[in-house]
Amino acid sequence: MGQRVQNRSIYLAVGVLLLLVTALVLYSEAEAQNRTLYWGSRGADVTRVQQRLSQWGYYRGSIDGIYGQLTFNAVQAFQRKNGLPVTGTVAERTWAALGLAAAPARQPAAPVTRGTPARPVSDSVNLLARVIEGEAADEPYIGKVAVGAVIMNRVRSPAFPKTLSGVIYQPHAFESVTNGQYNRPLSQDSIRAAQAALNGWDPSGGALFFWNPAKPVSPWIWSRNIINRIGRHVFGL
Amino acid sequence: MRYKSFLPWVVGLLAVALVGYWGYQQYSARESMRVYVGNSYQRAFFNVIDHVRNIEAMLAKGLVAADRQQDLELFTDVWRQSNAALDNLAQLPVSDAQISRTAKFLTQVGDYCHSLVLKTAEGQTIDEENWQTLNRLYRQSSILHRELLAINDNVTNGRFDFYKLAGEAGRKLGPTGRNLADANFSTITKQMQDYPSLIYDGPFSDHLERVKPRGLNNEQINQAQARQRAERFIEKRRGTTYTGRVTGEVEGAIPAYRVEVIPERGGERRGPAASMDLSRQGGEVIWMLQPRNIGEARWETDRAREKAQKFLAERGHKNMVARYFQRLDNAVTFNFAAKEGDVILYPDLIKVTVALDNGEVVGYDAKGYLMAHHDRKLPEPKVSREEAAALITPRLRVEEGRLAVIPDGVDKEKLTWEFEGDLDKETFLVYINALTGREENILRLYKTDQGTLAM
Repeated sequence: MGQRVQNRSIYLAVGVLLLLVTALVLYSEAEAQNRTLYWGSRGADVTRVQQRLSQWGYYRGSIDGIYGQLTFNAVQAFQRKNGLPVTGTVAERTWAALGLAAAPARQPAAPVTRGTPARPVSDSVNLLARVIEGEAADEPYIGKVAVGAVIMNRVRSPAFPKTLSGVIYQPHAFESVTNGQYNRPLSQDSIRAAQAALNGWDPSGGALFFWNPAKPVSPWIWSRNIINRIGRHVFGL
Repeated sequence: MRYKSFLPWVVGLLAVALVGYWGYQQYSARESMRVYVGNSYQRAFFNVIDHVRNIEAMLAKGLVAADRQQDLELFTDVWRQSNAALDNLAQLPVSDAQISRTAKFLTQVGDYCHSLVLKTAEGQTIDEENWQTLNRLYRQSSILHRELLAINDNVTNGRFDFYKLAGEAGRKLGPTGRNLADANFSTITKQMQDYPSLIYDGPFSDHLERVKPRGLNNEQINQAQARQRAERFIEKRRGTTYTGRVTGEVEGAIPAYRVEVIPERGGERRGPAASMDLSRQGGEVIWMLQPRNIGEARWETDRAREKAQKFLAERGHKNMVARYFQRLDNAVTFNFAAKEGDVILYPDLIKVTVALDNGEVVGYDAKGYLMAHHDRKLPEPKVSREEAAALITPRLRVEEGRLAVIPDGVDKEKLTWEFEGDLDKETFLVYINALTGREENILRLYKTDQGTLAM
């Protein structure tokens, strides 16, 4: 009897595992546009939702295209805040509220896509534009230039690495670099903003830090001298 | 008995949940490691490019330097930069065979420059043979720089992924990995990027960190005045009204009001608002940006330059000279330096961006000017133009020189003779101190379709 119980539990475990795996594979195959997303969904559309929720400060997990606990919580928080039924799934109305209703024709499926700017831009412009895109894609143009300016101010500041790449790749300096989001395709706006920042335009007023108060930030950051606010970002020294 | 038949279910489900949780944890940990490792490689690679670019520029300057002090500084710097480049190169997940040529070159450059440092420090001068070697090293560094930029193209468009390469290297560099690395590191076929990336802000822009602005009068303005001044500053199109609105205050190096100016025609919004900062003290426009989309270019650069000059003159900056420009898409940014008599004042810098579709000024930045401009009591030069020209290396064919004030560190300035000269189709600017005759600085000019830049 003891033997049989053991066997049965193993079969069961294996069976459930197989089911789960099949389900996962099936979901990742299905790539229909604006399908309903729920816990366990994965794919490029999940990535899009995560990116948007992350930009808006609801989501702080990794942008991995997998609808897990963190994504679920973020979606619920978003729905609560925007007067939608709190279902924890992304259906038509939530898609629309996320501003992703008419999804762009074909987003590349891989979460990691490199920018392909319209014309070749120099390496510094490109690198800076990628961080601007990752950190401030939904900010007004001035806010994009300001984020670029913070990076340039750091290059000049004795307290930070002396090169552009040193500043950008400093561990944990920029969230979008840490989680790989800065590898998204570049918008023309970000390239122009990078160029302006490299040229010395500085709407940040000389700031060395910027943060989004809607996201969980280290309380230390508020001890900085605040210079100004642009869009959702606070700039400080 | 009942409880016994439940047990396997509970254990099974628990096991599945645990395995699933563990798997997810492993997956996310692996993902963040992947990004982190990829970033580290990219940083090392970008640093290599930075250092090689600096080595190239400094070797070029070394070719035209004629002052021992200048030589010492340049060669010490090359030596330092080549060590840093080697450090970073060694971190790349590429086999020794593929980078050995690059590493060898960097070591040679560093060693050679170090030997020149010792030689110069002993009081000897750079002789013809040294110069020929420097020239050869310089040509090679240009080729290397070009190669690295080509690889960088592949890195940015995703064709070349250091992380994947690292994985391949772990498995004895499989065929794909090897091909990738071979194609990228061992050939010199690709053409150089269409323009070099340089000090975009113009060569003398380090003075911007000065703590207190010098170019502001004592008048304090209020919000209403800021709004009016912004409305007056903005360029007007006929039939359009411009309404300013103070959106906030900025506590930067120059405390300011942030103002938005909204263009309207017949009560309807025409295009995006222009943003600008006006200093609370003195009420000067610090910068302005008009983020509209720019259509097809119809204006020539020269016409745009005249337009920018006129724009400045109409706003009280009559004595300015455009020294550098840079074009991006359909807009050109000009660097203007102030003039006092015939002396160019490089610290007093204003940048103006002109849209080439209709010639409208869409960008303005006077931070440099406001920080640096003051009533200078310029000294009389003690070194004449001819004496200064004689101090420059005879290899450089210099054209007529002129007086220029250049910044010296954060807070000081120097009066110099500025000479432009050519060496093998390359243009250099040499600055000779007009009081002491010391060679203060050497810049190399890059003249491309996109603009003239100095490094």
